Amino acid sequence: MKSKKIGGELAFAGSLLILGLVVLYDTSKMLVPPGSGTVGPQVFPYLVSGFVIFISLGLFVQIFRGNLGIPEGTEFGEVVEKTDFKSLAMVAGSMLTYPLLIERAGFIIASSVVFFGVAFAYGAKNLLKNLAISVIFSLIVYFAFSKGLNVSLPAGILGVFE
Amino acid sequence: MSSFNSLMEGFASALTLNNLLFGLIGTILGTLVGVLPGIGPALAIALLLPITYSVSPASALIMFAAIYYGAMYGGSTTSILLNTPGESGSVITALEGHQMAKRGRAGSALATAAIGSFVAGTIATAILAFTAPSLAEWAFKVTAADFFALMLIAFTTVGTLLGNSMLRGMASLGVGLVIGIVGSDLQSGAVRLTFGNLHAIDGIETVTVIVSLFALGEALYIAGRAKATGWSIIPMKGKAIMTRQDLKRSWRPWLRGTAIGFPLGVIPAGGSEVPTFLSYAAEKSLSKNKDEFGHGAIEGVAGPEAANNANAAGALVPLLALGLPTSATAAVILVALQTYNIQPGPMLFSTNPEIVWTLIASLFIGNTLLLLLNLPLVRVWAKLLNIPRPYLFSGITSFALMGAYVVNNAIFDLWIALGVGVIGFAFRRFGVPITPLIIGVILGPMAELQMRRALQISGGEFSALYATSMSKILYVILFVVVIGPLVWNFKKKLALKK
Repeated sequence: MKSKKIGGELAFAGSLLILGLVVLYDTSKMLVPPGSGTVGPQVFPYLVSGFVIFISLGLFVQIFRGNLGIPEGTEFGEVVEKTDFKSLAMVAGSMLTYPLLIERAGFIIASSVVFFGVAFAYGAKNLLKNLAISVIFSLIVYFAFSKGLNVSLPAGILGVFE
Repeated sequence: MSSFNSLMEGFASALTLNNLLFGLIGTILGTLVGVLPGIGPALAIALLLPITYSVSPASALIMFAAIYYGAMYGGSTTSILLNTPGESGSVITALEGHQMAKRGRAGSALATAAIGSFVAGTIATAILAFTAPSLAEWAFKVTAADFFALMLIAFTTVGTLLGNSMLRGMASLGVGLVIGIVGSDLQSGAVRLTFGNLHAIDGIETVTVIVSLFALGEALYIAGRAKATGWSIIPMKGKAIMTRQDLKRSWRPWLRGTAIGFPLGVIPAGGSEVPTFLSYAAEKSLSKNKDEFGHGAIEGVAGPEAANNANAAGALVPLLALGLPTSATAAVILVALQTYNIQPGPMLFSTNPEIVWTLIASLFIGNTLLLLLNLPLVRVWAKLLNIPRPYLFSGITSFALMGAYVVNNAIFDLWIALGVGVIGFAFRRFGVPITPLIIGVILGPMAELQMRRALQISGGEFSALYATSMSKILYVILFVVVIGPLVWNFKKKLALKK
């Protein structure tokens, strides 16, 4: 139990430590505008960085004593021991396309792509059906928001049809 | 009596045909999103925030209140029919409610949950209406140092009471505090943690953080770490109605649940987990049908459901009167109010009385609409549970990304959303609770403001932070909250060794 895969845990505690150090560094290099008063903009970040570093060290101790985190349970089936990197990468990859596409290609395309990609990663087998649902979903959301609620969404390259 | 008159004026402004329509839409959307497995009230409200952007404040508030109660009610439907509690407050409901459903009594379980939520919500909102103004009046006397101490207590309770490990709760809080620092400091104008990025100067949007932490984090986590197992949805038989017998067994638990849930919402006790559990324990020990518990006792649904709703209304007391959110859902509501430039806190009752009273009246209306709408429509909601998992997650993901984008129409926010999504994944993977992060993002900047105010007055003397008698009392409470569980754990360990 003890030596069992603590690499991930250590990486987590390590990232927390780095976060604390980054805050510490940034705060020490901060340009403090004159007249910031006795308690300037650095006090709170210093306290927070100290807190984060302290907690991360505590986590290291906890991990080395064999006290590992309990992965959160879900409502969607059993939690598995090994991460399914393939599905994870597919979902993450689909999400990544969104900021790249939203303004270049427009909402409808960006939304359809991410919808299709995530559904595929989650095991939607029928590609044609998936594609149809993706596009219909995005069209409904687009028109409900931009026409019905006046929330502006980028029309993108499909804007010429309006 | 002035509270009563103001409340009536609140009703007058909330009860227009137009607003009622928004209330109706809110109820439907809230329930719709709340029923979907994987979406709790906090995420439901955060996801639906963009919808309220384009309507007037009064309409938005009533829609909002309706979404709030709708989402909570939707969550209990899922727990009962699917045994998948969408949030910690419904875990107990799932325990007894699902057993009832299995025995063909889903209708009774859903009815007692709905009516119990209505009863508790109405009573709790009434208490809220009459206590929050006096608390706000009292809060005028609260100094910056006292506020700072209060916030430290909120941080500690939220950080320690949630999840399995105190240290991990605190880690979550720490990350939230760091996110809250990003951007230009309001008091001095100093730029912090932006690394030269111009967008970051405005800070990180709280809505973006909440939506991506819950939705994107969950989508990544389930994809990477969960093996798909089928759902067993219990088909709804008959109508959602209660028999005379059910009612006789339910009304006392409703009232007791309300009495337990409300006060625990007012004090920062870390969300709805504790009150629902306490209510369940109380019903179990008081019940004449003890042997039924674990196999579908109606009291075990009625009490916790009432406690859950009363607790949610209780959390609005510190939120409105002090500007202090104590749960993830309260935090989302705070953000929503801020979109309308409404800053909850002691000043709110004197500067924007019409807004507060419209909100409180909206809670009553939303709660009533929900009862009228949900009992007849419960079969329709139950159908939503049949949405296949792939499409459910695609829908949640693309909606969340849209929500993150439309706040400012900025791609920068989307990159932040993806980053926070990764944090959400890592937190779930390593058993770190999420709520403390959200509380940290929202309360962090407020805590800093109060601390600096207190120290400014004293000329940088740190003793000013515990100079008032109230702050002294608060630090004693803080000490007990932190040290108490540690001592208790230590004793338990000693006892185990013996």
